[in-house]
Amino acid sequence: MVEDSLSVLDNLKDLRWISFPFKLSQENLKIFIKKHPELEVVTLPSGASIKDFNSLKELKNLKALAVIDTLADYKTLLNLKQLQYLSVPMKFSKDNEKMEELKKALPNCKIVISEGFCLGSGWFLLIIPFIGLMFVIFSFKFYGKQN
Amino acid sequence: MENRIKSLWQTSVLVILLCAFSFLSQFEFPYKLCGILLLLICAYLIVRNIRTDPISSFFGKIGFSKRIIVTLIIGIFTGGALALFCRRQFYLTLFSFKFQWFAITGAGIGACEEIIFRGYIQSQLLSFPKIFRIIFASLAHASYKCCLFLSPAVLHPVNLSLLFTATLIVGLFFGWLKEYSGSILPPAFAHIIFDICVYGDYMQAPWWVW
Repeated sequence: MVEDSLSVLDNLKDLRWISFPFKLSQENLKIFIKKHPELEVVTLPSGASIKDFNSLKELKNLKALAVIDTLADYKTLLNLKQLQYLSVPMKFSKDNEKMEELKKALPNCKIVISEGFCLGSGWFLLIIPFIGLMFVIFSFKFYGKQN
Repeated sequence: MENRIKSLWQTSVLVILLCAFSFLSQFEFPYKLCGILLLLICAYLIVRNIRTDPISSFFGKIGFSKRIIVTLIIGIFTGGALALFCRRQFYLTLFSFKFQWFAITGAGIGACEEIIFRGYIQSQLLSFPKIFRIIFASLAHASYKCCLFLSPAVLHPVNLSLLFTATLIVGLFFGWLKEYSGSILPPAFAHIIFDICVYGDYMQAPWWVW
């Protein structure tokens, strides 16, 4: 099922960014990576049973990896020297020893936790010009009535 | 009594529309466009329902009284302390001085949220007790934030109960700053400092922002 849904993407040879579906198997990941060597950003959502990240070594342009749920064999992450951004699960981040090991192995990589969203939507900024526009419309209406 | 109910009703409708905008903003076009149209409707309702003069409706007292300066300092320090706490939680370097252009966007988002939630919404309920105004605005803000991540378009799992609780608690404090000082400056600066310190060194906006 997952394999079928992923095979739809086979023709996208220049695919750069992928957020994998749930229940992704180790084998499916390996096959997918072979077909898409240009990937730059990979997100593994909860439910993905990925233990070994060694297959990601083949992705020379891999810049960012987000592991949302479980990080079973973190040692295989230590070899991903090309990473610039790594998002790890909250549970894993509690283990200071492992986090330190990751930081040492990936000194040029920004390691963050897959949690903690506190900034709002950027589109909300539009409300200020919209309010300004409404003031203009309302004042025209007001002066129109006065005249 | 009728005016109180009317103001509560109008403000509640505005909050629901803001939440709907937040929910739709995570989808692709054309749903995102629907969200932006809702924001336009919100702007219409805001301008139509202004009860006092426009400036004080959004910003409260203008100028720098002793009380405003004291709360402003408290706000700035609180915003900075919360930012350091968050950076520690995210395993980021505590003091980053490499601010990127995104810092301006982050500060703008924080300021806008304060102007609308603590500034406008809180001041629309002047006929209600202070504590009610603070709680209402904080609940509205926390709901708005959570709606961003409730959307089925969001694939990242987000701890919504933690986000809601944290936003509510910080919102209650910011609401108190607004009520005590009578000005939007202390909570706005607290929020701006927080957003700049947490997100100021981001090269790109986090995925949920645009």
